[in-house]
Amino acid sequence: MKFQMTPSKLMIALFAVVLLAVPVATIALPKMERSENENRTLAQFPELTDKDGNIKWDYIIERNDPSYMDDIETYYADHLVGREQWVQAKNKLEALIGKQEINGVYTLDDHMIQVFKEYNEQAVADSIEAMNIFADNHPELPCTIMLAPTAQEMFLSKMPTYNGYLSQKSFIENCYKQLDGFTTIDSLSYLSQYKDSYLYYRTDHHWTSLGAYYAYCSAAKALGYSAYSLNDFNIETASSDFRGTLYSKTLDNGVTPDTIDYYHLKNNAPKITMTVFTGAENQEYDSLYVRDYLDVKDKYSSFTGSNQPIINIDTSIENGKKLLLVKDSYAHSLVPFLANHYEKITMVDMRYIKGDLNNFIDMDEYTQALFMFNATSFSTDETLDIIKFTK
Amino acid sequence: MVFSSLTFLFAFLPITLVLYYLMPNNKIQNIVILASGIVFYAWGEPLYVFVMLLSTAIDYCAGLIMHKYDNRPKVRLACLIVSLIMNIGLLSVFKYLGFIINSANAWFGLSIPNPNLPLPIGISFFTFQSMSYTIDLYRRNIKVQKNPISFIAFVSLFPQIVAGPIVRYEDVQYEIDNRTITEKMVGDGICRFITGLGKKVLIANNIGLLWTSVKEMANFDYSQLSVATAWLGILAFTFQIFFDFSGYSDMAIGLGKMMGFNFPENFDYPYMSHSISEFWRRWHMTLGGWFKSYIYIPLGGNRKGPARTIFNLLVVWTVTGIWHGASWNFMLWGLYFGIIIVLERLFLGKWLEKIPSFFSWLYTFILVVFGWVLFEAIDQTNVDIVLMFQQVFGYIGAMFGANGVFIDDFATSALMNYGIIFAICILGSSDIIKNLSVFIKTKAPKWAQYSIPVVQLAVMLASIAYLSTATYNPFLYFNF
Repeated sequence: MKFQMTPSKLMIALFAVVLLAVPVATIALPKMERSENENRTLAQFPELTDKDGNIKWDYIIERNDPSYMDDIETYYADHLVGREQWVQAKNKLEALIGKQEINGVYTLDDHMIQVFKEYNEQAVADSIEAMNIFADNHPELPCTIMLAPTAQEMFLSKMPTYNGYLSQKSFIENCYKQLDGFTTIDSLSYLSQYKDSYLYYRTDHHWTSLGAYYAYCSAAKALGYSAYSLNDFNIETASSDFRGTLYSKTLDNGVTPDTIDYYHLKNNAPKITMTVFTGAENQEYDSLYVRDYLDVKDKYSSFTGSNQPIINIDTSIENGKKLLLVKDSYAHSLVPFLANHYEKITMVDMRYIKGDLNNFIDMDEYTQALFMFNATSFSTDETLDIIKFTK
Repeated sequence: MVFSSLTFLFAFLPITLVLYYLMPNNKIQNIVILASGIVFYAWGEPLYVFVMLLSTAIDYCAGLIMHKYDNRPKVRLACLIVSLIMNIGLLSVFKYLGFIINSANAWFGLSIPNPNLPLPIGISFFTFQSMSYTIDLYRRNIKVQKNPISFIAFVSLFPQIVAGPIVRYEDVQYEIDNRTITEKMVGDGICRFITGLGKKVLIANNIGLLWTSVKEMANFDYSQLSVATAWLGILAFTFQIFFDFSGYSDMAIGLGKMMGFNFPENFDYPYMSHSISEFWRRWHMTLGGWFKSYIYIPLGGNRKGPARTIFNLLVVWTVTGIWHGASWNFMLWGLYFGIIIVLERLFLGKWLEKIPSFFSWLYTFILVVFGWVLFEAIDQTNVDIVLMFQQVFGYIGAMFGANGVFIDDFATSALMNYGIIFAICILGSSDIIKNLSVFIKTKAPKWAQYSIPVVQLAVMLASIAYLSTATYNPFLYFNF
């Protein structure tokens, strides 16, 4: 009998191929344990039995959230064959049907922008109150605050007004107004003068070393140093194929990858010892750059390593100036500039500190304190609250 | 389990279909249907699967006894009553008990503890399906099903168990034991399934995000909504519920076809209706049919004089409302349509036939949209009727400018971000695409007919792309 093709047969064939090929390929191909782009471990297949070999009936039968069956679905979604290609296809479709933001990222020409639309008012109020209490508790310690704008602020005039993007200028000014006993740094105005320069990565939510450099200049007066000029630095291009966190959110290959620059002082560069306390152990480096990270996806972490509870930076400068830097990751590319002016800098990340800060550092040691966060993290993070317990 | 999940598409469905097609005859295929149905149901309800099986077992036995005592009317009646009490009892306990207790507590200052029983998935559907068997058997419309496997297979037939269409035993009594599967049926079934998947995953979930954001912003206080936001929000829901629910029915009908069953249709382009009576003949048709056969007509229908007809209509529509959920606003929603249908019977219907058809369409569509305000823009956890009306009038007021703002940034943003999806929704609510595909199948050259499977493949791949990444994937009709 001769085979006769019909539209029905074609439909059946196509459907069967998709229905069988996807699960077979998913099972047959090797599975990833980690997703680099999402910076997380992928789900494990949910176990039916506990470690003693007993069946976990509660887990299977009860209406848990997530239930055993939900976890199987998550596992399937996490390990589905071609997972990132599906995400890319979905995001392309979203753009095609007119969605202006993908996963909280607005793409303007060749630049991805993390959007700043709403914030956690309670978290901001708590952070400000905690900082005021901290300043009260340490009258002899000059406290300075730098709230850094994110890329959105530089592009705001080119973004549609109706999507509800907030002005970080008024957000930052409003926060500054409520802080007592802090010297405030207006890095926003300073950076805005150079808004057409490469101040923020195109595919990452951080500022570039150039952006950090201008922020460093804006802080000179408040922190009492005279900033070096751009000509005083040798610029090393450490990577030119950096795709950052915003790329991970959109997986859009249409935006040019970023360049990571390191700024080295041409003359009289101080010798650096960096001690990273990971919460479990101390790791020592003789540079502020952890170049191993240049070989992996998360290249921004090459600035002082990834986020860690405490990083101590000792320099060969002997001027007695010791800075306590309470910060988020924006400080990581700022610190290479600050290190040229301090004998010691201690970077503290309150998101990773459990309990009393006094257990980890000696507060009497420091001559200055700088609080530095970007507007997005300051407006959403709730962990700064515990700084008020620091004596 | 839901159809729009990876576990269903890429584990349950291929395994079930392969096993099903490998079986040599209907008898053995019914075992696959039974087993897969139980797995499908237990996947979402590992405990309540026993509620479903209990209900099925009682109706099966009631059927057998009715058959055995064929000439003893009292025994037959007793069997029917047991089946009705059991089904309606299960539905009442799981669906309405909490609501009744909360209302009584609030109104009479009591403090009866609420057991807060979770609702077994699809209970409103499978109890109705199973009841149709005993009622029709009592009325001698159908023959008894002696084979327990065939009977459980009818109830647990996975395509339709959790969200309809409400397949009556009558609809499949022949096919359950004698069906043939043709290549054309499978091909058509696949097309139908993919169409439904796309409606649910690509359209309903997407437009639903807009309504969710309006709801989150307002949190039942509609005093800040602009006119445009209020309209866009409720229109988004209007489309979401249609594409969600009719998409689910399409998937069920398609899966049924793949397995050799012809389920009844459930939606017939309801948003093209020119009267509310017509809307309800085109929206959730199997539910309307069920209430007509088992409530309206037994009450006397329209044969007992105009006053009794009006009473019967209002009863049916109030029950229809309550069927959708244990909350006052659903009752109001049902009654709202009941009253409009009574008015259409009395005089509006004749008037609607005279005016230009655009206006009768507009009249219908706007009243349906107001209906969705009653249905969805109300806090269903609330039992205070005054508050409910405040929310209704708050929302409808906002639609007519009570808040003084015509358009705001939120509405502009919604138009810019959802404009294309709205256009797709409007297209998909009309029968244009159906007519086009009928044209291709009947009049276009042979090669053009192959475009249909290719387009369907693209829809399927796009749906998988959304499914594998979207965490936003709730089925609206699960809790009814």
